[in-house]
Amino acid sequence: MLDYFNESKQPREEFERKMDWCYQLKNIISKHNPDWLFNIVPTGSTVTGLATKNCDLDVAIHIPQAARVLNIEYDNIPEDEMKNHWRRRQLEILQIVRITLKNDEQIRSRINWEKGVQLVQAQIQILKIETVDEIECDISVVMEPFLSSMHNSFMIWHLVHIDQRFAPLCAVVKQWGSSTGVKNPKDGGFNSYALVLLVIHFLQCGTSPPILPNLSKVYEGCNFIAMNDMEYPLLLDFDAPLPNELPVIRQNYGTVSRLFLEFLHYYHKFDFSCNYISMRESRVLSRFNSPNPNVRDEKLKEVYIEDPFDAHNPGRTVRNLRNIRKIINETLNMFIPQKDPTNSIENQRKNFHFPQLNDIILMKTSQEYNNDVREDFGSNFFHNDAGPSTSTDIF
Amino acid sequence: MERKDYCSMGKCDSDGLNIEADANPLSFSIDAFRASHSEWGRAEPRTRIKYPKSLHIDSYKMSDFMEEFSINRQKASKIRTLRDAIEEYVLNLNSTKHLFCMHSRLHPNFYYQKTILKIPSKLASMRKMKFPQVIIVTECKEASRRMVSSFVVERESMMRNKDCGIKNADEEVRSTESVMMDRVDRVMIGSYEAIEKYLDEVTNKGEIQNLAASVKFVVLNGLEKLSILSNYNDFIMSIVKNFNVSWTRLIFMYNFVNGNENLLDTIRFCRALNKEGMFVEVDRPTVRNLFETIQFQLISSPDDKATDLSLKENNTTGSLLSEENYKKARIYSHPQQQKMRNCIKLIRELRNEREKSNNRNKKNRRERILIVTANHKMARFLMLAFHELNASADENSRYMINTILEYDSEEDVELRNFEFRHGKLDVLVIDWKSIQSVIRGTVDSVIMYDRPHPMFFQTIMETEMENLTSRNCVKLKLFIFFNATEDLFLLPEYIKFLEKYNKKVPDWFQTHYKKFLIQWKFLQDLPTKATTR
Repeated sequence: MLDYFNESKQPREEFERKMDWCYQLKNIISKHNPDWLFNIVPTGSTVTGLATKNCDLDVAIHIPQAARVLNIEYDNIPEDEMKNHWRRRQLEILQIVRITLKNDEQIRSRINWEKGVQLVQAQIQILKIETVDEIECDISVVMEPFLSSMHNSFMIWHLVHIDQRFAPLCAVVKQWGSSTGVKNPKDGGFNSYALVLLVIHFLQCGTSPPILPNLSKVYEGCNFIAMNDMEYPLLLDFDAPLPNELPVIRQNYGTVSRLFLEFLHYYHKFDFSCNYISMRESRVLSRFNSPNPNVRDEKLKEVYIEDPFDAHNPGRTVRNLRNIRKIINETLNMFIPQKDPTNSIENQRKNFHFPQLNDIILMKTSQEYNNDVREDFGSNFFHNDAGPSTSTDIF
Repeated sequence: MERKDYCSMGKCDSDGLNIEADANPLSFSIDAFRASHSEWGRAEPRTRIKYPKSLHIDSYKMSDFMEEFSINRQKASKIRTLRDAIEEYVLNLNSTKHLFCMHSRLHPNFYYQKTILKIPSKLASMRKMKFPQVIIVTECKEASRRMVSSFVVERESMMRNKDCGIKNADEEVRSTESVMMDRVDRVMIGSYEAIEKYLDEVTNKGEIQNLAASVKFVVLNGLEKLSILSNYNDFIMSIVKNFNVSWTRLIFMYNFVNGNENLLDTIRFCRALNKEGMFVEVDRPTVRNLFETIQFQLISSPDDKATDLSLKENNTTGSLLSEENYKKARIYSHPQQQKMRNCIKLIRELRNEREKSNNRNKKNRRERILIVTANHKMARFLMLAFHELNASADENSRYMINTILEYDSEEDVELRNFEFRHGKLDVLVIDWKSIQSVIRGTVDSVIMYDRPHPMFFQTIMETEMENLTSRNCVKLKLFIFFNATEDLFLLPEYIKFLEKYNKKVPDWFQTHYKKFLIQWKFLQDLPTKATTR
């Protein structure tokens, strides 16, 4: 698993290219919009240390100034109307960035114009770009003063460096999740960030002794890491060491493979209907008695994970927890030898094939045989002018 | 703790960002930006979308042709899916014909494994046969292994037939699962090479007749690779030879997605193996239920409409309309007038329905209506007409209306979509070429103001309608204005469309269909009449 992680992780050269792209983006946008006060902030796995080769780059244009101007422009209007104005502003900012990318000579040559620059008007509006050196970049606009994706990335970055097993475990869980459909937000699975939070929670609460600390609790008051979306440092220094040494506790010597099995076992038994994962408290709490009204009022979502810093639920994409449990069960069963009818241990040993890493991370499940066809081939197949002129041609 | 600087982002400072500084509203305005960068030119029109042409609506579709050879021909009720067709063929149909199946899945056992496991066990046990009832042939050892696992998993999930043994012909040793439950191996799964070896062994023992008597079905997978797999066609010939005298039926599985073989050549090859004939079935994908309702509104000819009005007048006053009034009625009943009136009425009704629903559910949602026209002139005309009407309507009845047209720039389209989704735009009028530009998952109701372009009928009515929705979104309410004179030739397509989505065909279609048939026959006879003159 460690070898797999080391072979598949993002190389330094790729990281440098991405940072260079961000730097250039900032310069060009500033050049044409001198009034703007903003940062170009790369977020996500690229900056957390969990990135694999050729992974996408998520970039946020962090521009709280735009919200301030809006607040002055539209004073005292209903909240939902203000929300619309915010969205409209985000849209126009992205449109301005797109025009800049299309017309500025310096940056224009860096874009792969065969793919173009796509503005996706989903719930979160983003600009999708591919550069000529194959960086796939999603640009969003964040006007809130608190940039949660940056603070999440900062937290994860530190956790990666606190324990060297965390990153490989995340890599294996993500790849296993992709193969099995556990990581598939469009079809009711977890998204990537939620899976990472599940790993963090497991390493905090599911292992004994725990492997990862709750950094917000340990460094409360140090202005080092965000406590929540109201209390956070303005400057995040990824190069700076932790302010103080972590508390010394008994060491957990579990290998990555053992931790992976324990991770599966932990979530196989986790009762998401009654409980939720509080990343802030590093605890499992009751959904019905939660002090957080968002949790108590959430009746529709099968999984609730309380984000470390803001009010959203990263587990909201899950729509079929039963299937996910089934997949976890199938994975666990791969490690259990089938009982021999003659009770011969030797036969059992002979017939049992202990799973290799590829059996896990490229695993296919029984789900595959029962899912409906997603791609519509049938009707399009027959919309074809080429066909026999009479039935006797065939028969 | 030692600091690692591998791939470190460095510092990220958001201090000083949360102020207005020199910015003002125009700093973030796209129009102001364009104005200040006039050297970059104006916003360009969007790239023209190339919509795929639909099948010519007057020609015979491949699927219609295939229907001739379907099991449906022998049944009163319609079998819709390939899975159901195979189940019908295996469990109920009493026929000596083989079955050729065209499918799209990587793992074809999806279509038949449940059915095969349902084959009653008592037959085998009564005869105490040591031979399988079903042989499933795969391309290779790996495929067999995968299929056996799948069958075992499926069997375990079933309530009955758990004693159905499944043997992997590619494995020498009898599988643990058969030994464990002392099952009779009723299903044999193996690569064609392994099955061939098995047949040779049975032949050498002089028991081939017994085998043939036991085997009811042979499923041959991978027909799309007939020429690539060495000796596969010879193997199939030997299967036919060995099972010719018994009632063994063959099921051929052809994956048309990965097909290397010419489909017709493969069908001919399979057909030639049995003089009784062959059924052909196709995997039809599940049709997503896109529509909450599909409603046709008849737009009659001016004469018909004026005549209707005259008759109504007669019923109320005892006399028909005067000639002058009849002429006025004809003008008033021009198809465009009828469409406009119907459209206005529909918009009002839909908005009222939405308001009632909002009151019931304590919500505040707009009804988002899309009107699709034939071209940008009609779309602009409608927008202007509705603007005029809105201006004179009372405040509560007014609604926002705008257009997306084929020559609009990308930015304009994005802003209109934004207004439609998040803002205050209630009615969006488009020319049909802009249908793909409408934001997905936003539309509640679609009014097909003009008929869909005949060359793109399915593209618009099926593909693009599906694109307007998203997987988790609301179903569309579709309203189609059907011009009784000009749209008659589209009637068969509308009927197929309604059948596809399992919606009722309007009763009045029957009358118009008769008119269509008369016209159709007239057109078909036309060249004959010309030559005989």
